[in-house]
Parts: sequence; structure tokens; C-alpha cells
Amino acid sequence: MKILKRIAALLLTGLLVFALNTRFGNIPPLGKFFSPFEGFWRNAEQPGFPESKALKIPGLKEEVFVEFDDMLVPHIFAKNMHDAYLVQGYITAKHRLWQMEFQTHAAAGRVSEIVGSMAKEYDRFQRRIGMTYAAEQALEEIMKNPVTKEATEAYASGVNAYIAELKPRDYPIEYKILDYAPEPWTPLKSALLLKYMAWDLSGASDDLAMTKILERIGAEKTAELFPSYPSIIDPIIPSGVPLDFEPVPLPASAPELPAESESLRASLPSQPDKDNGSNNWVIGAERSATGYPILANDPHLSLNLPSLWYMVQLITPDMNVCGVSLPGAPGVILGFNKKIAWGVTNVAPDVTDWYKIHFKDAYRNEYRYKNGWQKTRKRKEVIRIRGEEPVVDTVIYTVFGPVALQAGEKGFNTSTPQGYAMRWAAHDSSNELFTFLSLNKAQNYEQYTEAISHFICPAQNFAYADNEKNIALWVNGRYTLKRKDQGKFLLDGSTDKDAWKVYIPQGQNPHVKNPSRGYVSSANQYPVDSLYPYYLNWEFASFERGMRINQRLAAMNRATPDSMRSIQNDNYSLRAEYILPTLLSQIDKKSLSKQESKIFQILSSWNLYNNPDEYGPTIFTTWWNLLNDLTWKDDLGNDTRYPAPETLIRLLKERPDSEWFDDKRTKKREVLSDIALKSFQMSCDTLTKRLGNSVSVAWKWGNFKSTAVLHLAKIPGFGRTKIFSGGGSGIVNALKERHGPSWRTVIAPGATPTAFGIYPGGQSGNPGSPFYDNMIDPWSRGELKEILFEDCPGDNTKRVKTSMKFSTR
Amino acid sequence: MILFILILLATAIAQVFLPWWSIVPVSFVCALFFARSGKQSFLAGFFAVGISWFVYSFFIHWKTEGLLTQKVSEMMSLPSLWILFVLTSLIGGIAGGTSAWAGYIFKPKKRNLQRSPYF
Repeated sequence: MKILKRIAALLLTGLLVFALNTRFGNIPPLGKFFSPFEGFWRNAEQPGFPESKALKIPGLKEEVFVEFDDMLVPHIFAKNMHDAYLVQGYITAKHRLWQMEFQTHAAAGRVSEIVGSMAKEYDRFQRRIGMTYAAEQALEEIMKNPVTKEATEAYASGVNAYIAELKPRDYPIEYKILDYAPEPWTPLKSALLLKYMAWDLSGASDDLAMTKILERIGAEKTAELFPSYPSIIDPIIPSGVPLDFEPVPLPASAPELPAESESLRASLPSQPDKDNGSNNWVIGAERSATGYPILANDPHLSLNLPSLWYMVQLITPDMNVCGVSLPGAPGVILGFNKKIAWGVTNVAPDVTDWYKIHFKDAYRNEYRYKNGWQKTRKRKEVIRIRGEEPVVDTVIYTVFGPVALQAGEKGFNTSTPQGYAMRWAAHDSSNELFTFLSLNKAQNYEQYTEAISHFICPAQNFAYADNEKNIALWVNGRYTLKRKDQGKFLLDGSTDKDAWKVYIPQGQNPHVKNPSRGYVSSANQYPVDSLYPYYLNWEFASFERGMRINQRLAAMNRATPDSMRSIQNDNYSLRAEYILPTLLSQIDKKSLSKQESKIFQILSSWNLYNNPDEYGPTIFTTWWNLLNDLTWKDDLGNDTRYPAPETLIRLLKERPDSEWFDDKRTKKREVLSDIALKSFQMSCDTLTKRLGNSVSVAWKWGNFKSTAVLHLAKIPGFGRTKIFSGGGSGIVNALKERHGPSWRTVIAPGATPTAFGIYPGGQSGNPGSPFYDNMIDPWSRGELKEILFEDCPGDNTKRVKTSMKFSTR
Repeated sequence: MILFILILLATAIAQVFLPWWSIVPVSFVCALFFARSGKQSFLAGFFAVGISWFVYSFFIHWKTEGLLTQKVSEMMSLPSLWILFVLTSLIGGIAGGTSAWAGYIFKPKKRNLQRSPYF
């Protein structure tokens, strides 16, 4: 009896411990998680700065000294490059370990290992588009180059030195919530991170949507709505800049023959955000108050916490570079040194094409290619799933690239065509990291052009300024030499007719140095005028941001860093300027209700700025979206895409009786005034229902848009919501609901550089740190923080708050 | 009372070096020697660990100005962040109490440890 009682007591206690130490569904292991000795409580940090300390880590060649300033930015003083990258790895991991690992797991399609089968289809898709394959190709190049080899290996040692110090109680809180442990860092993970960025910036493809549209409305109308040269343009390279090269011969122009597409599936696309773009510009010395050029840059990306960016300064005897890094990659990605400053925005060349593959049989060992059968290469992918058996997936590689979806196969990403092989520039061997590490050390224009010549994908507009007063911009990447419109639609994979064969020589990429207008700029728009000899893509970002930046710069003299800041925060809506008067004039005021008249009145008196306190942007944006729906949905369906804003703007202004305004679903032949009125009334109705009758607080643009910066794993409570801010899509201040300026910087080179920067987050990735989101509020107000740029330790005793001394163990 | 103080101190020291579940063997062993009844041992374990978890977590909350406490209580959609302290104390308490009770169950019957010189 006693024995039984004892066994029961043991069992009960054992079960209890087991239950409290195990994760059930989304509930973390309660005992482990709530223990103040070990659980989430341990991640709470005190306000203020930790005490300075000295510590020993393995692998260092000499001593390294790190100062942290009042923004918790590390200034790493090392005696050699190896040690600088090693300590960069250590410090970055100290602040961002979970994020670094999670992002690379996401890139590699390994999220199911952490969260279980709910991420299975996501993971499978990442394998199918060859993310790890791409990273392996990159790693090979990284290892061939002594600079990037040393950097990634030292960085990995640093991260691993930090991981080795951790006990489970020290793990970042996300590991505790999801109940797993960090694994060792490797150079492959740095490569995966860069491919994660490449996918975000160059993975989007409209080829499937465009092919559906072509089938629905025919070639002529497709060309009318989706022209290969925009109708409103202010290109990156100013018109009239003469070519400084002899163009190579163009490929023969063949008529577009899209591949048969019997299996095009109807569904809403989900892929990288179309507004993944950015602004950068440099105003020349003659227009600046500092006597030197001033560079500004703000990359627009999804806004998350922990932030994508991490500020750092790296100082060695032959380098002193400062700016933002990507947690997971050594060096500085965007920034400046004593001589030069650089910044990037995304180019949108067509570097993702799809080729229809005709397999010989169901084994998919061979496919038709150039009058014969070509063998496939199969790559086995094992997707490990937490709490379940692993799934083995075989990815088929062709001469073009991987077949992402087999015919009839449902995919995670519905803009992906079925039965097509993907040709993506990011699969090619390249070493983009070498570009950044070279820029970190570059001293002049020649070294800058040398550095960027290694950059293949994702193509970037590299803006440049130096303290010899040069300004420049290269629209740089590796571009296939294509016939016009090659790859606008899905392509045929049974021939090599449309295969990528030759590339535009890098030196012939669009570029401009010291233009007579006294400034360079880019905002992802169409890069060149019609005189540039090569085809890059049929569509780039619409004209508004680029044109507005150029208007502001052209009107600017004696510019200061603060004038650059004011452009970054420019909320003026060029789109509204172009079309709002026309639209308003189309409305027959007599047919409006009392509420509609009131809204009409408010919109008419709007100053055209998307400021957070305005009501106009709320009404105009809703109206614009509904106007697009009413114009295009009946013609193009809701499984494709709409034409660029320029197309509708031109129609509104020039062809109010265009057939596109006719709603094919009604008997009546509608013209612009009909659908303008209808969409305006629908807007009033929607907004009134959602925000109430009285046009007041809730109608303010800042409240309506309600920007949020969410946690990377969408953990509730760990993000910031309801951020009152202006801007929007097509606005220079491109701040949307979940997306916008992920980093804003203004750099003024000179005898010593002065620089400012801010990002919506904080240096620490720990939600329990006061430095987790401390920059969000000043960022949302459009402020910048001065970046501390030091020469030697102890330069700035006022801003330096704490330090760490590293020596080898 | 001796059992309560003993479990409080011994588990606190153990948890500094060992995983959280070290409270289980530690409370068990303490009860093995110092338990008087099932109820007494459970309550001693429950309050010893529950109070130490409450005090320590509250200390952290106070020292860090509740920055993380607020976020975690939002994550769990708790109506008030005080529920976090209740949960913390309860979870620690139940683990400590159950293991102390189990220790009592295993206690040899014959010897009367109430007269232990340590009492």
C-alpha cells in the first residue's frame, strides 16, 4: 500500500515537472518560462548602461576595445581586420542573436524546425526556389576571396564565442517562448542572409499575371496598359547625359511568343512587397552650405522589431567605417568613412524569368530542350518538422534553374507559375559581400567603382559622395542583355531562344558622375531615358517619388543636412497634384448627399500633403484605390494586377471617355464621370461606416493609416502599433502601414565627416531592453540622431557610456 | 516553519546554479527529513517556492521598471500585469508544494524527526 502511494507520489511529481518543462502548442513550458531564475524575467534589463568590463574570448589575435555610445552603438577598435570582424560578430550576437538566426532559418526554409508543421509550406517554397542552393553558390565565391573568407569566418567565430558563453537562462526571450536553443553560426548563414535580402528585393515577378492579362485582353491592349516605357518619367540618369561607351550588339528582336499556359491558376499573388524601394540622393558641393556634397539615403522595407539594421563603427589601422550593418553579415552595408559615403536603393531590372518545362514522363528525369532530351538534376531537401516526421522533398533543377512548382501543384507563393523553371540572377555565383567590404575601405571614386563592379544581385542604385567633392550614381548589378520585353511574360523552356546568354558589360551599366545639374538621385524609378541602348525591364517604380525629390533638389541652394532631412520627410502627393483637380471636376455636386458634400468639401480644400493631421489623404487614398478597382477589375480580373499609376493618371487626364472606364458588367456605357462619382460615393460610404459620421480624429491620416512596427515572429505585445505618422505609397516619405523607411541617414563628408541616422527600432533586439524600440518615436516624428564617429578611444567622453575590453583566451 | 525556511533557502541557492526544476529534488529531500504531515509539507513547499518566485520576480520588475513585464502580459493578453505575478507564484508554488509533499510520502515512518536536534 505504502509502495503504491509512493509510486503515485513520484509519478505525480514527475508528470508535473514534465508538464511544466514542455511546450504545448503555443504555450511555452510554464515552469521554465515563469521561473524568475531562468525564464523570461531574466531578460528584463535595467534602464541605463551596463558597467564597463573586460573579458576573454577565443580566437583574437590582439586586444580589442569597444565603446558604446548613448544609442548603444558599438565603436569597435581593433588592431587588425580579423579581430574587428570577430568582435563585430560577438557584439552583434549579444544584441541580436535570435533575429540573426531566425532570419537565416527563414531564408533556408527551416522555420518548421522551430514552430512545427504550420510553416511546412513556407519552408517547402524556400527550398523550391533554391535559397540554400543560392547561398551555397555565394559561399563558394566568398571562400575563394581571401577578404570575404577571413571576414565571414572571423565573424562566425565571434558569434560562436558569444553563444558558447550562454546558459539556457541567458538565451534571448524568443528562444524561451518558442523553447529551442541557438545553433552554431557558420559563414553559410551570412550567405543565406544576403540571399534573404536578394529575395526581398528581386524575387517579385509579375510574369504569370502579365501572361494571364495577355490572354484576356490581347497583345495590343496589354501594350497600351502596360507599356514598356512609362508615360510619365523623370529617369535616374538625367536625360541628355551622353554615353561614355560603345554599346555591344543587341540580341535579335523576335516577336513575343509566350509559352502555352493551360495551367495558369487563378489566385491572389503573395510575394515581396512591390514598394520595397528606397530613396537616395547626393547634392553637389556647389549647392551645399558645407562646401562638400551631402548624401541622403532611406531604404524602404518591411518594418519589424528587432530592426533589420544595426549601427556599428569599425576602426582598424587601415579602415574607419561607420553606418548600418545587417545582423548576420560582417562589415558595414550602408555608411561612410573618412573619405567617401555611399547609399543604395533598389533597381528593379527583370532578373527573374520563368520557363515552361516539358518533362518526358512522370519521373521528371528528362525534359525537352533544343531538339533533344536534357537530364534534370535532383536535389533532395529534408524539411525537419518539430514534433513530426521529417518531409523529404525533391527539387528538380534544369539548365534554367529550379522548377518551383510542378504542374497542378499548389504553392505557398501564388504568383509562381506551375510547371515552370525559375531563372533568377541570385542563383548565379557572386560575391556581393566583397562589394560592401571594399566600399568600407574605399578612398576615392575609382575604388568605389571597383568595389561595385562585383555586385550582381539584387541590383542597386549606388549613390556616391566623397570629400574631393565628387558625386556619382551607378545603376549597378548584372543585367542580361535582353531583347525588348524578353521575360515580360512566361517563356518557353524547350529551346534556348530566350535563355540568358550574354550580359550587359558592367562598365556600361547606367551611371552618371558630377552631372551639370549638381545632384544625383534615385527612387527606384525608370533609370534611363530612351537613348540608353539596352533593355533592363518594362516597369520600374512609378514616377512620383523620384520626380518630387528632383523638384526639391533642383530648387535647393546652400543645402544643409537638415534640408536633406526635410526632403526625406516630404509628404507632398504628386499623384494628387496630377489628378485630384480633374477628379473633383468630374463630380456632379448635385448628386451628393449631405455627408458626401461635406467630405467633398474637405477633400477640395486639402493642401495635397500626406501629413498625419490631414483628412485629405484618407479620403484621396481610399478614392484612388476604389477608382482603380472600378476601372480595372472588370477588364483584368482580380487574380492579376493593375497597370502602373501612370496609366490611370494619363487616362484620367487625356481620355475621360476611354473604354477602360466602362464597367463591362453593366449595360450602360460608363465614362470617367460615372465611375469617379461611383467610387467617390463608395469611398464616403466605406469611410463613414468605418470611422464615423463626424470627420474628426479617426479620419486623420495618421490614425487611419496607423503604422505598426511588428515583431519579426509576430509575437503580440512585442511590436509597436498605432504610430501616428504621415507619408504613404508614392510619397517621398514612403511610410505605409507596415512598410517604409527602415533607415534614414544623411551624411556630410568633409575634413571629418558629419552624419545623422535613425531607424524604427533600437540597437538591442531584446524586448526587455530600453534600447529595443527607443528610436521609434523620434523616427516617427522625422528626427535624425547625430552618429558618433570616432578616431580613437576616448574621443568623446560625453557620449560614450560604457565599454568592453576583449583579449584572447 | 523550519521546513518552509529550509526549502526557501535551499531551492533559491540551487536555482542559481541548476535548472528551475532543481526545486523538485531539493524540496523533496528537505521534506524527507523535516516534514511533519502531508498538508504541512505541501504548504511549506508551496509557500517557500511561491514566495521566493514572487519576491524575486517582483524585484526584477521593480528594478527594470516593468518594461518587459508589460510586454509579456500583453503577449499573453492578460487583463492586468499583476496576473503575471500570480501565475509565477502559483507555478513555482505548485512545483515546490507537490515535491515537498512527495518527500513526506517517502519519509520513513519510525523516526520522529520533530525531535531532531535541528528543530
